[in-house]
Amino acid sequence: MIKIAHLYYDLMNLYGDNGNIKALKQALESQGVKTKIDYLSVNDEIDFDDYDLFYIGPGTFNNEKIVLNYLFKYRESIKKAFYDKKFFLITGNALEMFGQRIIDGDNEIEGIGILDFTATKQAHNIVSEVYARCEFLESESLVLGFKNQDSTLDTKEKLFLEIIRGDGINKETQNEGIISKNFIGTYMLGPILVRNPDLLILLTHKLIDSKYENFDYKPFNLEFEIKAHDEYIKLYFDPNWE
Amino acid sequence: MKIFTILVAKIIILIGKILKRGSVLPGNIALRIDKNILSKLEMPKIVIAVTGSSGKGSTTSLIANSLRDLNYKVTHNISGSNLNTGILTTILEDTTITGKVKTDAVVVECDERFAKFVFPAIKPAFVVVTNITRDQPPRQGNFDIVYNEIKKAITNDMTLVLNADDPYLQKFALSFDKIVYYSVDKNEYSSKEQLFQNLNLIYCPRCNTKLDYKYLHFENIGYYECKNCHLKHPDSKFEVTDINYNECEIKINKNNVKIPFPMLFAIYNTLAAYSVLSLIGIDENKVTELINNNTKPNVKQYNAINWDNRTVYVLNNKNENSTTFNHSLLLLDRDKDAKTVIIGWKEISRRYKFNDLSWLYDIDFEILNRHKIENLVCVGVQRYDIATRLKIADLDINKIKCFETLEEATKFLKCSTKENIYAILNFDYVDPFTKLIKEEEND
Repeated sequence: MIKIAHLYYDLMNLYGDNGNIKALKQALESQGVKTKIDYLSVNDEIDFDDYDLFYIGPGTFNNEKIVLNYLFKYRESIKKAFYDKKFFLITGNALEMFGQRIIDGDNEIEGIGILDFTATKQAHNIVSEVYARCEFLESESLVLGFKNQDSTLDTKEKLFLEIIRGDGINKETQNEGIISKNFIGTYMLGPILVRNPDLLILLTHKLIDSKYENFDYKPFNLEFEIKAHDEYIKLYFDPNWE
Repeated sequence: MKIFTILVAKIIILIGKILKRGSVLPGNIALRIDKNILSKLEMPKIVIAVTGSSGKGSTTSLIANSLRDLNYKVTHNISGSNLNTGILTTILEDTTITGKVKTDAVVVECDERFAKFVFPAIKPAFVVVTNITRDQPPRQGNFDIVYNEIKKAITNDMTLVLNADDPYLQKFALSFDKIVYYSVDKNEYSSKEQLFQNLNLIYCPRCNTKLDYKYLHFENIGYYECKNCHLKHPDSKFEVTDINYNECEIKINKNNVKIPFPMLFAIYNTLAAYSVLSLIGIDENKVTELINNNTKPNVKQYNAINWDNRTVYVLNNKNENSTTFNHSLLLLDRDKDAKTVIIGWKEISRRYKFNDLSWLYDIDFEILNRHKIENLVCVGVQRYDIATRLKIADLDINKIKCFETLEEATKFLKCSTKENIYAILNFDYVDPFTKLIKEEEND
């Protein structure tokens, strides 16, 4: 069985991003892998040893600050889970909490510090449609996403998405998508695992391979997802756009 | 300066009328000549403003039309001109050259982001904030940003008129004292069970403790209390006690009041208008009469069409606003019979060059799992995105049918389905779909 912890699901719940976790559960179950999602929040005691993947989605800044307060309690457990190569999928502004600090005007908020970056809140959200290439995908397939990003990240972490249209993780770069051990973090919304079936398959493989040896994969049933992705590119992606 | 500005605006309004072209240009030019022009106009005794994510247009129209029935002259901006320039244009049309508004009442529908430019200038005695929900994420960011924008528009001399059932609006109570509430009491449609997942606020706005609910009407709307700091659903001055959806009638403070169609948001809009009309001093019996005379079915919002020995419910929704879709699902949830559902739109949005679909995942399509659904029809250019959303909700993929055009979808409905149909459509598909099924009927 694969156990997923959807953390702070009732505080960090913007932009329909919990679709990521629903998609992941369906993909795992389509392979015959029993999957359990626990919805955990501030009133729950979280055992980080008990799960294979942790997910946190975007939230309002107010809720982010509430959540960050609780996350500090688990700082050592989170570090251990990270170095134990447990999976983290962290999207939208939830990503900020895992860096060194968040700068909001004259205020500086300490992050839980497992990744090497500083997040800076912006006066206006960065909003754009994003097309990217992903170095881990064998196909030429473009990664689609949307940005409603309220901060930028100055980071030395490895970035695995090369953005060919839209905004990067900060104003100076055309790259996105932090990857460090099995921690995946991105501002890209979509939900990205729904809108990009290739990424969903990739993560499903990684998760299953981390638990089971020589797993016998069946075909994924992602017909609608693939059609939605391909139609979208056909309709809206202009390769000659400058 | 003031007279010059008004004169210029009036000339442009006149030219617009000769050319039969209304626009926000007069207000726009007036603001360029004098950016404070709105605050220099002499307002009538009654000034009412309504803002919020949805329900602004219906609420202000009902208030304005009721006042007209009392032979008041009313200045009221129509939907689509609810930014500062549109509101200024509308008011300038009814203003003397010296800057005195000639009408008896100004009733303004105002965009949430522009309230801060309008309210301080026109000083409404009563401000309704209908709701602050997930709406146009690319433009609005999120609801907290919208709340902060509206808050900038409110001053202590204004009385807020708010829905007591909405805990999110309790944020205003942390900063303002003059608030009158309306609410819907527990009724046969309220429940203890939470049907919706993506809620704006279920933690106490004062102390961040998770709220307890006695009952819920919809999303996070219901009777809440905080066990920690004892913030709770405030007492309301205007309360709906009975709902009769069959007759489109509700009881407000014991008066029988009509609603235009049998959906919860129609109740809240009517209730907000009733509250404001009462608060400006009209006797509640008279308010009831005025509202009942001005309440007619609104087929653009809700249309129950007899078709092929069954009913097609055509429901108006706004893309990028998950709450409007959730209201349609709440209506569907009252019907326990087998049904077919059709979902679609022509364009995601007319506002931007890009397309955001994340809001589809804020809609609680999971509710459909409680029902016997014969077909899930997805229509339009994003049909596969809609189909994917329904699949992710764990609905049966064999029931999902995708059509590129409304014509193909309607043919399928006619030939291959027998049960009632819930058409949950963006506003840009409501008229074309209604027209098509009426044509099919006449074939």
